[in-house]
Amino acid sequence: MGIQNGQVPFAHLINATFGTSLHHFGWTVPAVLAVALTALIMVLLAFLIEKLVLQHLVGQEPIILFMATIGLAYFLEGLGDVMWGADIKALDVGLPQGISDGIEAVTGQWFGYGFFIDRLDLWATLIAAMLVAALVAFAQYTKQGRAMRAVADDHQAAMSVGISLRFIWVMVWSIAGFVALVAGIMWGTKSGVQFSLSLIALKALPVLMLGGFTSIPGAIVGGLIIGVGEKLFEFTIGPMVGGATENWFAYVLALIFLVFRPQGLFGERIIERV
Amino acid sequence: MNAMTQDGYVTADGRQIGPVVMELKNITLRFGGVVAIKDISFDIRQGEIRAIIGPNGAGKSSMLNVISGFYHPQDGQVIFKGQPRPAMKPYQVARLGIARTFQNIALFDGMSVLDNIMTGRLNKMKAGFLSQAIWWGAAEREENENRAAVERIIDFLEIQNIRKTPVGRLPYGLKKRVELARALAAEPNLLLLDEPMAGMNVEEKEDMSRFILSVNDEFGTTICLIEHDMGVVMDLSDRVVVMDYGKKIGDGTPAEVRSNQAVIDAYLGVAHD
Amino acid sequence: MDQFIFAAEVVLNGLMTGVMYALVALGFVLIFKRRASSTMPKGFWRCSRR
Ligand SMILES: Nc1ncnc2c1ncn2[C@@H]1O[C@H](COP(=O)(O)OP(=O)(O)O)[C@@H](O)[C@H]1O
Ligand SMILES: [Mg+2]
Repeated sequence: MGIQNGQVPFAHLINATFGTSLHHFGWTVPAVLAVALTALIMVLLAFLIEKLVLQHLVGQEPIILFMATIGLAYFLEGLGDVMWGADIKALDVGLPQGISDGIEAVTGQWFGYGFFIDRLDLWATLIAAMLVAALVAFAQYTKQGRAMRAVADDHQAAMSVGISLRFIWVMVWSIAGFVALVAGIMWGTKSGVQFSLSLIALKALPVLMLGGFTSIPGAIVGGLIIGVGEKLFEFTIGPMVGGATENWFAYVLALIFLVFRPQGLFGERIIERV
Repeated sequence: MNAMTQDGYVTADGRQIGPVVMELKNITLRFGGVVAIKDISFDIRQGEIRAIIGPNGAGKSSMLNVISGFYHPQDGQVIFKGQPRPAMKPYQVARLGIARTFQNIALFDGMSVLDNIMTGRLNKMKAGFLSQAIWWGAAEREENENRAAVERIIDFLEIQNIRKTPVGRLPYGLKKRVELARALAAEPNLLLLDEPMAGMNVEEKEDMSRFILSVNDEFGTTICLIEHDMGVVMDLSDRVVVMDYGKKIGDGTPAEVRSNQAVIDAYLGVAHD
Repeated sequence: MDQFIFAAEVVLNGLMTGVMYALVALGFVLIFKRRASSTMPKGFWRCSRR
């Protein structure tokens, strides 16, 4: 799991940690300890990745960073395969699972037709929505969030108003790591921990192309558009073309955007500076 | 000018200037083979408007960057309020109460004018993360206080009508004004302005001059500014440092500097470049 | 009608997937953002020649 980005491998490592405790030693690490351990490994890995790879890519185009992180992810994935084996592992952190009978009953009453909604999906959506809302609020309204946006906009100006770049970078890394952790756990629970899940994370690329690589609202709206779009497309057009449209819909949409609005929905306009 | 003493002096227009707040002692700054600043010493006194002038490439911006911690001189000392200041990062200097603007304008283009100016007050915000998270007590009070302060600055600089405009869309002259607003928001003791009037038309220059004078007058802010336009400098500043090719070629009141032969030569030399 | 309800369910499902995508993309944006502007103080070397 966990190919989202530089962080992902850590989420993946967590899962791997869970896997290890279950399969290799025959004893279970208490969740708290496992999480603490994972956090430690994540920080270490983040540090190494920063020093060994990303440091050399400062100032590069986002897409180059993206490819670098995907490459890194594949590398770590391979490493994980070697260390823990490639079989699918179940990840259960106590999120409720199974079809929600309540919703089925209620919607059945309302519409005469029950919705089949996985309880895990419901919880995952709830948690994810809360996280997204919290992040937006953080960026928009807190002192640290303002400082983060400032740094994102102009380093020189940020320094001149007394913002420590290092502090913000550490903070951003931690947030990104945390987001990846949550996303990782939820995907892992949903589909099991298997390293070939990378493909799903690769969806981040079309989402970013749609939303713009540096836009927080863009990532959110882009994700929602692609999520809904590919399901609807599969539902309406899918049967006509033999299905499996979910595999390519997002990329085609992103390609179209690339042609007509290369900066994405919310991306900063691309202006060639002279 | 009255006699200059340890404690200060009284300007021609009767303002009391205080003791030295910032002293630069034998500063030398090199970039590889280029010597941007050659063994320059001068001081800035409490409450005065100090100008640095000189032709392009003279090292004026470099000097401001040394004071604000963006550049670190190979030689010399920066003495702030009587204490030699160790090498500091720009954010640490900012936290000492030294704010600045940039020659090439460094604003947050993606944010509104209001948000830009608010960033100037980041260091005034002390509320803990939790109280911010639930928007309670200290955080709320603080936010409101800071907003009020920012609104005062907005009124002061007469930019009410563009409060919500994204800075990226503003014309050059207004951007410069917003940058000044952001620096003022920090309520600095020392304000560094790198060519605040460059590229402006006459009317904009007059506005900016007026703002600089009233900042100094109303808030007692010490100001060190770089300016190209000799006329403006003569009008605004109490004392002037003249630089040329990284060296100090003059230092004194505008009148003294204007009659300095080295200065006249340097200025005539670049008038045609 | 059935079709409509089914479509609504599909949209709901899509929204859930979408939120996850958004989260993953957000992780990226946060990293790109800090990298988006170069660490070099811009403008200091091109000294103005107005
Ligand atoms: N970051 C830098 N790297 C290399 N050289 C620089 C840098 N900053 C300034 N210089 C050089 O220092 C000299 C003085 O520049 P500057 O301080 O910008 O002059 P001024 O502001 O008086 O026009 C110039 O020759 C310039 O090329
Ligand atoms: Mg300059």
